[in-house]
Amino acid sequence: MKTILKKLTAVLAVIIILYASCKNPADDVEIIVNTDIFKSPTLIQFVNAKKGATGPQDFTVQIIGPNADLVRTSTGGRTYKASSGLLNLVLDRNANPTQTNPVQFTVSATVPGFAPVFQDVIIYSATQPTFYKVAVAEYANPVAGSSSLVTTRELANGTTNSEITLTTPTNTGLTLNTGITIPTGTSFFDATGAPISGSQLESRIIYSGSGTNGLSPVLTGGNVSRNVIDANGKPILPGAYLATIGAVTIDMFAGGREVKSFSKPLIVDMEIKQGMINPSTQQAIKAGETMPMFSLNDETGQWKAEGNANVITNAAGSLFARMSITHLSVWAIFEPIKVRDFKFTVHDIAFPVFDSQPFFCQLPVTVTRPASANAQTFGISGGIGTEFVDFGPGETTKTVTVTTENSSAKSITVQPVATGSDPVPTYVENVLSSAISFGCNAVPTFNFVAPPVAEVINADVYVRFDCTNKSLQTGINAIIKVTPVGATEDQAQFYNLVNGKASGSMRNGVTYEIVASVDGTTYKSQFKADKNNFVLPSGFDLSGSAAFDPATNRLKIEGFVRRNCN
Amino acid sequence: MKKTFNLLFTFLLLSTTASAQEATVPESPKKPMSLQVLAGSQGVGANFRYVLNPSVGLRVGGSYAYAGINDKINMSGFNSKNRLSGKLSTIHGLVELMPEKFFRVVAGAAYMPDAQGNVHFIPKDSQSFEGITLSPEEIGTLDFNVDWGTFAPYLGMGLGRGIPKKKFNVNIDLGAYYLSSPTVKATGTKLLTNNDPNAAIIQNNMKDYRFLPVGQLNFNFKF
Repeated sequence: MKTILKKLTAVLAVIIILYASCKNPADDVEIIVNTDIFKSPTLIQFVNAKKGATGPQDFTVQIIGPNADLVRTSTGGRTYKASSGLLNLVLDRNANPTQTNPVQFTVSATVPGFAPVFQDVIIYSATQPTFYKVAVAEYANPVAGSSSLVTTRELANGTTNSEITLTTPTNTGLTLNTGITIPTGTSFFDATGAPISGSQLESRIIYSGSGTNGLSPVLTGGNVSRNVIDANGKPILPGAYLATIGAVTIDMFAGGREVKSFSKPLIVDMEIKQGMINPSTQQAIKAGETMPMFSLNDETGQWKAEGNANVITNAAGSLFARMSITHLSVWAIFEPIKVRDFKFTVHDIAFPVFDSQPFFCQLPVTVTRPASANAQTFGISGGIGTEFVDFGPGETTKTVTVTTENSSAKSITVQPVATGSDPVPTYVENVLSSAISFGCNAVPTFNFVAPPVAEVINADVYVRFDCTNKSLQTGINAIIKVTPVGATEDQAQFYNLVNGKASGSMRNGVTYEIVASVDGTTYKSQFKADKNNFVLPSGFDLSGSAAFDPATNRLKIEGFVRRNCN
Repeated sequence: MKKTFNLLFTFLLLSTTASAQEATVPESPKKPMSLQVLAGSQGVGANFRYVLNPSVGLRVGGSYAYAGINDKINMSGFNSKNRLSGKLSTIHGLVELMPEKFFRVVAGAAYMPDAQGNVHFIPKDSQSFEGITLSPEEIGTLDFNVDWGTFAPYLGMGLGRGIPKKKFNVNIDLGAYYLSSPTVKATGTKLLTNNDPNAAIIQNNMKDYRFLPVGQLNFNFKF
């Protein structure tokens, strides 16, 4: 019996040793909670209207308009801040946008040094991502076809004691100007109608006209609008192309407050390029004519007919459209040309279709891509409105009709569109542009070329917040920007992270910068795509690693942002 | 969490330490077979035992065990109702070498239709994350399933006489199955569907959880 007990003890000891040597199964486990409870991921990218210049970076944004109550930040908040020029938004769980019942709101912001930011946003899908690139004019760095004036004038107790004339300068990109005359004895009122008393009047003016490059003026928020009220007070449905002669954005400040209206109308004389065609008559504009003028309601995104401007000539024979304005906003002279219909891509992205007319020309634009088993949508901008072309799996060539103005100056740009379901491809050039000048009978072709197979790495990205104050993780829901380091901003690709996950392809040996903007905070990382396992470099906001599987040519990148979770 | 896993394994070790109750009647060479009812860390079951000669015996049989405990897992920031459970069923064949009358060396293998553990989480509280508040119903449920495969060799020893001298006796088996390295799978619903990385972490943590200790009482009926 003694021997048996000894053997029993020995066996139990072995069992206990083996058992105790095992690791705690729960070590390092942190429950992952999805937060993709919201709908319609949307990225607003703010860029400088002047290509290559730095755009607005970190600023507060206002969301206004009919469905503003449905808009949230990507983590559910209602305080909207852009960071690194990016603003990720989603719609509330109760939202249900469709093609026939879209969700609409307006994004606006005031950024020091830049003209007021304004973008009408229309969302048609609860699942597909929506992407807007908003070009913002910088006062000190006007884009070709525009000029700016920031100036301060004296006031006597909030009133002009002499006539003030403000004239925008000309530059190599714009030889036209706009003059604003403030009559003597004008006093100023704020948004509530209360008079403003101040000793100085600061004016910030951006004028967009017909540039020396021949391109037509581009309006704040784009030249296609679904929210235009005509001279009879009726909406132009389903929308209109705003064939623009010129536009001027006027902001004034006095006594620390923003001026919204005045006691006397201001006179705005907007110069018109000689020989410019009147869209309604198809004849050159001449003195004695009238042209429709509109103002933009920056709270609703609505363009409203405000009567007519009179075309006059000055002593030098230059043509001007004279407007009498009673409040400050964006003022424009344009002819609204009705959109026949809005078509949709397979990803629920809307684009306008127009009836053929002399003002337009119809360009057959051909886009080719390498063979692919994935669907792909390309956006074609530079026409009347951005158009889109869908490639189904296996399709490599598509020709679409792009509507442009009937002038020799055109610039067509084609680039892939980030969608919710398709891996993001990589091409030798991710954005292709045409020459700036070609005729109506041109047949532009854009060929997207795949890099050599050996250079391509398929990548799966998984980025999570790792809560430092509790055992929780959650995948980031945001559209992130991935740009080859050293490449132009145009070459950026956008990955739609759903619970932190997205797929795409990258080029072996290329160093990429990842930028994610969540709730006004930017998270960055940088790594070199490599067919090896590697650790994400330190010194950035993301930590993590990448594992390469040679059998599948897939690189799995796992990144963590460690933060305190509320 | 470790404590909880300890409890599960402790459960599986239950009731193995009873002393053998030996009959003292002489062994009959004409009655080499017995039916064995077992209870121990691998649950309850039965064996048929056949003695080839005084040194070698064979056993075939099966066993089934199921155990579960509630609310023993605490995770920081994730308060939950949870249930930890394990299920083990075996069909086994064993060879016994009997160098001594009261001591046997036992080796063999088992086919295991079930060698699984499960942890089922139901969140108790709402979770707030950066302004989002999610109710437990919205969050969903989460299961981690652990599977040790279907085949395992066995090595152990038996204490007590293998075949009763008379009609009945009790003896003990002590040993261990050497299981396959477990695979862990996460199955979540609603907002807990992306816990595969945690399954991989648990699987790695449990890669050495391969010894299933066996301690059992055998009630033997000779016929």
